[in-house]
Formats: sequence, C-alpha cells, structure tokens
Amino acid sequence: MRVKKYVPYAMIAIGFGLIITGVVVAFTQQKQNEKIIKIASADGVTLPTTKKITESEFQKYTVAASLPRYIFIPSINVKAIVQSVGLTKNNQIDTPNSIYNTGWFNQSSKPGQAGATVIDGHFGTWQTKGIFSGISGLKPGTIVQIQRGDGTKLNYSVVSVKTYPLANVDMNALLNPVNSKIPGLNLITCSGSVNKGTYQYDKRVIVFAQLVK
Amino acid sequence: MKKIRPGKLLLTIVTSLGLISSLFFPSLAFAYSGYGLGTSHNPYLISSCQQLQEMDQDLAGYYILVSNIDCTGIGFTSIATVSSFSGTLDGQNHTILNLDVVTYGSMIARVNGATIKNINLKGGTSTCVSYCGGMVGDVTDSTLSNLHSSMTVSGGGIYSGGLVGSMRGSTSLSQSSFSGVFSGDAYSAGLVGAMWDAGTSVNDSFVTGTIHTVQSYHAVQSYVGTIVGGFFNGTINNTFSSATLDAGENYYDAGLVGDSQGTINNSFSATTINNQGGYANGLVGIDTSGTYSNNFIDAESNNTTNCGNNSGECTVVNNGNSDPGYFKNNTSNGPFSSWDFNAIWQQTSSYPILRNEADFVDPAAPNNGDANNDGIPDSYQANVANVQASDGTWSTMVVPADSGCVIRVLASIDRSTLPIDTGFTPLTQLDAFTLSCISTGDTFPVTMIFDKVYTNPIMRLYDGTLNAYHSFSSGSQPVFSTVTIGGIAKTKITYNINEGASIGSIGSQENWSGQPRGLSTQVIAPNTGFGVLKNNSAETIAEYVTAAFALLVVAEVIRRYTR
Repeated sequence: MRVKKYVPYAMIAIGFGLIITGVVVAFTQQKQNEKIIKIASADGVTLPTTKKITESEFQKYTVAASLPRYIFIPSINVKAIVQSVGLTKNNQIDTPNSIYNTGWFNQSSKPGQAGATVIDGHFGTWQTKGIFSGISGLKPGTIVQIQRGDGTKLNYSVVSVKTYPLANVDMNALLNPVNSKIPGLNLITCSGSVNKGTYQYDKRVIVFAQLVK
Repeated sequence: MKKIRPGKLLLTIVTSLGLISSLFFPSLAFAYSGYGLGTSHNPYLISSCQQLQEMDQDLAGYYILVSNIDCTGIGFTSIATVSSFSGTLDGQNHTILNLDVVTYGSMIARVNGATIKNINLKGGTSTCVSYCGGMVGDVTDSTLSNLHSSMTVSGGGIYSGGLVGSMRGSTSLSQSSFSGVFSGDAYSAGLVGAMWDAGTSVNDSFVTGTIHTVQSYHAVQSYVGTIVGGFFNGTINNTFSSATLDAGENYYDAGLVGDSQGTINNSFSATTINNQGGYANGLVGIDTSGTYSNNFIDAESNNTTNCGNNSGECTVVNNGNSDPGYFKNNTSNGPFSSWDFNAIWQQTSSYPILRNEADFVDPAAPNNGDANNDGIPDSYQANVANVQASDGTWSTMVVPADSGCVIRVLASIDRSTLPIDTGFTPLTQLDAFTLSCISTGDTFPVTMIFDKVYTNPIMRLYDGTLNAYHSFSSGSQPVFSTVTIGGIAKTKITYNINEGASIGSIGSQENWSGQPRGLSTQVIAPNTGFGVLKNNSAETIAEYVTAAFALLVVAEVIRRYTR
C-alpha cells in the first residue's frame, strides 16, 4: 500500500525528467546541425534550398530539345524539373540546388540515347524530406517518365533497386545501363544513417530502369 | 661412268643445302644476343657496345641502334677486317660514345655495297695506318649519310681520314662532318682520305676540329686536306672547312683538298693554316687536273691568297681581313646561293651547320635526362623511355634491364581523339608503347613515372578493338606510390605485363604492343543528403512533451484510483 502511494509521484518525476531531457537533447541536436552546416561550408558544399518552386515556375522551366526537362514518378508523387549537373572540384557528381529538383549528370547519356541517363535527387535535409526520399521503395515494373525539352515523353520501367555502402558505390553500374542493349535510366540518392560528425549519409540507393516502348 | 658413293652424295647434298640456306637465312648460323632477325623488317637491335661488336658475325645483316651506346673503357675490335660489310647500319640518330678502336683503326674496316647512316661518334680514339677512317675504312659502292665524328684519329696513315678512309666505285658521302682531331700522312684529310673513282662524291659536308700532318711515307709531299686528301676522281659539292690545319713544310697541304684531280663546286675554305710551308694553299694543295666552279677561300684564315698552284680555282675573299664575317651569318655570300638552306643547311651567327645535327641532341627528359634517377642518362638505356604529352607533362617507362626487352616506341596519345571514358576524369594523356623482347611468355614488372603527384589515380587502358576503356583485371592491379626525383614529387606505378606469343619465324622473339594507358580518377557518387531527417528541435521537444504528458495523465489516474 505504501508503494502504491508513491507510484504516482514517481511517474510525475519521470515525466518532468523526460521533458528536461527532451529539451537538452533538442538543443544538442540543433548545435550539431549548426556544426554540420559549418562543415559543409568548409567543404565548399552549397546546401540545397528547401524552398519549393511554384507551379508557374515549373511550367516555365525549359531546356534544350534533347535534354531532360521533367521527371515524373506518379507512384511516389514525384514531379520535378531536371537540372543539368556536372562534377564538383572533388570529382563528385554534383547535385541540384533545391531538394525539390533533380539533376541530370551531363556526362551521362541524354534520354533515349544508348547508355544510361543518370539523374540524382536529394534524400533530404534535417529540415525536410527531399524529392527522391521515396525511390528506395520503388518496385520492379514501376514507370518513371522523363519528358525532354522538345516535349517527347519517355517511359522507363524499374528493373531493380540496389543499396551500396558509400565507400563501395558501384559507379560502373550507375553510369551504365542495366541492359547494354536498351537505353537506361538510373536514379541515385542517399540512404542509411548519417555518419557521426559529418553531414553525409552512409549509403546510396540506385534505381535501375530501362526504356519501354 | 664414275660411280658416286652414297655417303659422298649425301654429304654433297647436305653441304649444298647448308650453303643455300645460309644464303637465304644467314642468321640461322648467328645467335644474336639481342632482338632481331637481321632483316629490314626485323632488324638486329643494337643497344650496347657488345652488340655493336657482334656485327662482325653477320656482315650482311640489317642493324639499327635503339639507344645511345657508351663504349667507354671497352676496347673495340674493328668489324669486317677480312670480308666486307654489305648490310645496313642505321644509327637512327644515336650517338656512340668513346669508341676506342684497338685494331685496324676503323669501326668498320671494309665496306662494299652497304648503307651506313645516322650515326654520331662522340669522342673515342683510333689509330689509322692506311685506307682507314675512324668510322669506316675502305668503302666501295656504298651510301654513307648523316655521319658525324669527333674522334681522335691518329697514326699518320696514308689514304686515311678522320671519318672515311677511302672511297671507291659509286660511293657517296653526304650531310656528314668531322670535328675531332686527325693526324695523317699522304693523301689524308679530316673527312675523307682518298676518292678514287668518278662515281664517288662528297656533298653537303664540312670539317672543323684539328688536322695534323705527319711525315711518314713521303719525305716531301703529303697532300693533306681537310675535306679530302687524295682527290683522284669524283665530285665535291657544297662543302666547307673551318678547321685548323697544322701543315708541315714542303707538303702540298691545303685548306680543302690535298691533291685535286676531280671536280670541286660550291665550296669554301675558312681553314686556319698554321706552320705553312712553301706549298700550302687555300683551296687545293696541288691542282693536278681538277675542275672548279664557284669556290672560295678566306685569305686571312688560310694565311694565303693562293687557291692552288694554278689560277682560277677559286675566288679570294677577306684579303687583309677586309671582311672577316664573309662566310658567317648569311645565306647569300660565296657559294651559299647554291646551298639548300631550307632542308639541309641552317644559318647561324657563325658558319652554317647541318640541320641533321639537331637530331642527335638528346630530348629534354626530366631530372636532367635521367628521369628514373638511376644515374645513367636515359638516352643510353634502351629499357628506359620518356615522352612528353601535348599538355607538357612527362611520363617515363622503365622495363627491367634483364628482361631482354627494349622499348621501341613510347608515344603519347591525345585522349580528345578517343571516346569519353564515362565515369572517369582523365589526369594524363595516354601512353602507347611497343617492346621488342628476345623471349616470350615472361612476366616482368614495368614502372611508369609521371612527373607530378595525382590524387586517387586509377590506371585506365584503351582497347582499340572494342573502342572502350577498361581497368586492370582484379588479379593484376598496379601499385601506386609517390617518389621524389630531383626534388619533385612524382607518381610512380608498378604493374606486371605478360609477354605474348612468339612472332618470329626463327627463334622465340616478340614485338609486343601494350594498350594505350593513362591515369584517371573515378567519378564519385553525389552527396544528396544533409544531416538527419528527423529529430529537429521542435519535433524532439514535442515528442518528449507528449510522452511526459501521457505519463502525467497516467500518474493522475493511478493516484485517483489508489486513494
């Protein structure tokens, strides 16, 4: 009976303790994130914006006739412009300037051409999810549509989805079509957990798709 | 009818077959220590003084030099002292350093129906007696071109020359020079001792250096010249001398030709004649029966205004030092209007030089010509080669000296002419190479040195058949390291190559060309995520507050029900 009398008070104490702990953890996490921002800046990495483009801006976006203009993945609600990205000074494939845009690696094939068209997109930041945060869940047979600058629409069917440790990403697979005889479309984004002390995720996921008629 | 014994018949047949085979396959009886079959398609490759000496074993063979050769300290025995050399020796613009000929006096004593070209004898010594030249001795019906020598040729021989001893038949000498020290007696000269026949010719050649006259066989006359000593027949065109001639007394020595009985055209003498005796002339020592056209002498340096013993042999210039630069730094004075200054001669601030002399200058390689830093100039090593790419960077290739291979070709290929290597960013241009090896099937390490440090390099190879790049197979990855040579940090790569199958029809030899290869760095996967997706401050606080509130509610309920 005496124990029963003190249980409520213990739970009240635990409750306040959780509140205090939560506040401490939250501020610690905020400090860590600010540190990550500093590290990224020191690396010369420009953080993507989290500002969404308007529908008007989306419609007004144009590219050359043979380049990818839009990407649509209806099954995971992806509708995004495709920017052209090259290599950073560290020989890394560059990324789009917004977590809601995607980037076509301009050393890869153009849509519909032999080889693989490589498009990357953000998984997200600590603030919000990116445009490609859901591609790891794509199933074989899912359709991904690329619309070119000239309006041509190309449908690609997902063949497989693979995840690689960051240190062992199969770049040869990323930059080549899954079927050498069919134009391919390879999507890449981050996955896994953030390496402690860095801002980088420890895995990459690649979606391999091929052109369908 | 005489009966032929079977044994004798068999012997005759075997001997005949052997003779016939030796005519068509002479190298069957000659096991050359280096690569080659002695044919124009597969010449013997000479990369050492010892291999040069082996020429004596196949006097009809086709030989080429694949590197400079250092004969320092090696006593060299003249080649072809009994039978004549009738093959081809092409130095490919390489230098033989410090050749000391210890017998007979000439590098190649007798030459008949041969071609000898593109060789520079730098330094070295020989002792000539007669019909002897530092490079070649008695030459008949042969073609000699682009031969140069700075040897010291002594001995006081007759019909001897610093470069060529005696020329006969239709032998021609062109675009050649002598710049050493020559001591000779009768009918001798710095360039050619004697020319005997109408078909002999010396064209576009010159002499510098020092010519000494030595009295040995002839008590009075020596007929020593700088270009030719005993010019009994033939033609001399477009030549000059700026040598120093130490003429003895009472010898028919001269600034260009000793005893002149042939035709001399478009030549000049700027020879400095010392110790002039009574008959030393500027152009010819004695004009026995020569013909002359457009020849000149510098009176001041020749120390005489006499062209020869007759008149009309030449035009005298710079009399009384009136025009000391007459033959210098121009292409129009004297005989120059008849000279080819586009393809053969080059104007300088002094006397003209032959353009082909530049071919013997060793290419500028890293670390003062010793790119692999082994203490030996790379130009003297056939197992080391350097190439400079279009962007100015150097790469060096080294195969082991005991591999039995020489590097025939190391060339740079501009990647812009090839397809893009997707996924890889090029760091260097491609290097293509060909090895000639005396064995097949061996595996040995190859070292490549690039003259800067590259970050995360990968070696990529280009397959011309597939028109695509690839990396080394997993079982033979190259080993990368950094090495400092000459104070500069460089990238060094070592990998194994496996010799292929035999290509020779005789023996086991191989010409092996590797796929063009160069350094690249691999494209890295993009960074498409920053920080942790959840756990921002607001979410963290909200979660904990929610949990805490739930606990408080539960606590209150328990408290009420446990009263």
